[in-house]
Amino acid sequence: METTDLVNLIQKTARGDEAAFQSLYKATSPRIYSVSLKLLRRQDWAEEITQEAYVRIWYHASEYHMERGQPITWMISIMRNLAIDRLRSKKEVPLTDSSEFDDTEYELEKSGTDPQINFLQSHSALALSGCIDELSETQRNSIFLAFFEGLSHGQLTMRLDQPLGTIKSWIRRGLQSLRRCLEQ
Amino acid sequence: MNYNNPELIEHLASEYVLGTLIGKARLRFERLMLESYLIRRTVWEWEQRLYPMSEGIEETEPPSHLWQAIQQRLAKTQPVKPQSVETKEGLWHSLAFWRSWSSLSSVAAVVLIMTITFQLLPTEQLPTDQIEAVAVFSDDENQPLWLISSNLNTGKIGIRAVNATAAEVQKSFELWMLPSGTEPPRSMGLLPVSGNRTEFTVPPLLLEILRNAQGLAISLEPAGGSPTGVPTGPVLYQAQLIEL
Repeated sequence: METTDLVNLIQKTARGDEAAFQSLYKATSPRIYSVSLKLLRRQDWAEEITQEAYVRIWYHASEYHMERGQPITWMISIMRNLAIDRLRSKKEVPLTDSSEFDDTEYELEKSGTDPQINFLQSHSALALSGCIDELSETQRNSIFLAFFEGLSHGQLTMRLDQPLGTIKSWIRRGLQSLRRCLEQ
Repeated sequence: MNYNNPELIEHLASEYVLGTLIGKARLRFERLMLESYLIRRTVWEWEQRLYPMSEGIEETEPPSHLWQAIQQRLAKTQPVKPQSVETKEGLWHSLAFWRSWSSLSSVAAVVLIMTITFQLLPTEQLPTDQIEAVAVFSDDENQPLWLISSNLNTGKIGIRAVNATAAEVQKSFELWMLPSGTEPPRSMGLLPVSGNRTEFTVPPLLLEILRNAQGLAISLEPAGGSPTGVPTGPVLYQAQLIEL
């Protein structure tokens, strides 16, 4: 769906148009749900967070504006912040050696330390993809793991077996490089 | 820590969006976002930089019961949704309102309000006796954020968001009346933002409290409002309810 169509649907949703909200849900929920599933790695949590995100999208539709970027960016932001709060509300447990998720039927396959990302062809994704290629492997891995799996600095130290200072520096420098590259 | 340092803001915003800013630092940063447009904008920029990464994730249709669950949630809470758009502007056009404003406010503020009002639909002139009290919430620079009008006989409340912009994503602005004495604040619902209006009627019991209230206040709450019925977030603004 075109961005302008989504903006239109959000605008109508803000006016209480339930049909528009349903169309918005149909158009965007596969994306929102799959991102939450990857981040939370549990189907029950992903459903709960996606549900909460859409309830908020309904109530806050009038707060969307162009500075937030594309409608999907705003919607992902709502979902991701809920998901991150959910992940952080649990005691910090290293995901690598924890059996926390293992005995649930919901467990999804964990990715390794080097997620293979196949970017779609949107302009911003292409630009980002090019800039990510310029990062060092360690910077790229740590940013991917934080972004896709929601790992904190502490969890990254265990997953990547590196001291905290090193992890923080990889991420910080990696993000700085991304910004410089994208601004060129 | 110097939050005016652009590089520091970039750094905190980037880690906030990535998700690695956690705990108290995350909460503190969310508070800073609330206070600073620059910081909010920096976060929005980082969202636009990083979120395209998620385009590579293969899309999965959510189970069909998820949509039903969302519909049920909305049906239950429907009355809470601010009637943001379809409400009447009439209250804001009463003579009494303007008289009170010209005596209460600086010339600049009045000019601003008139500018805003003329952009509304001046189709309906309500009798002046329909407004009995007004309250104006302003920011540090005296720019009005919300205008509240009320009829203390009928309990009808009109709220107009003037310059109020959205709270951060997971937050709402909630309006409270501050009862006289030592009673805790009573919720009057969520506030509209971004130029929207809302109108509602407070029940008789609350109206009695409102008539004697010390004033009104706005707090920052989790999205959807305070989960406990009393303010849980910071009180950002207070205003007197001025009888006309």
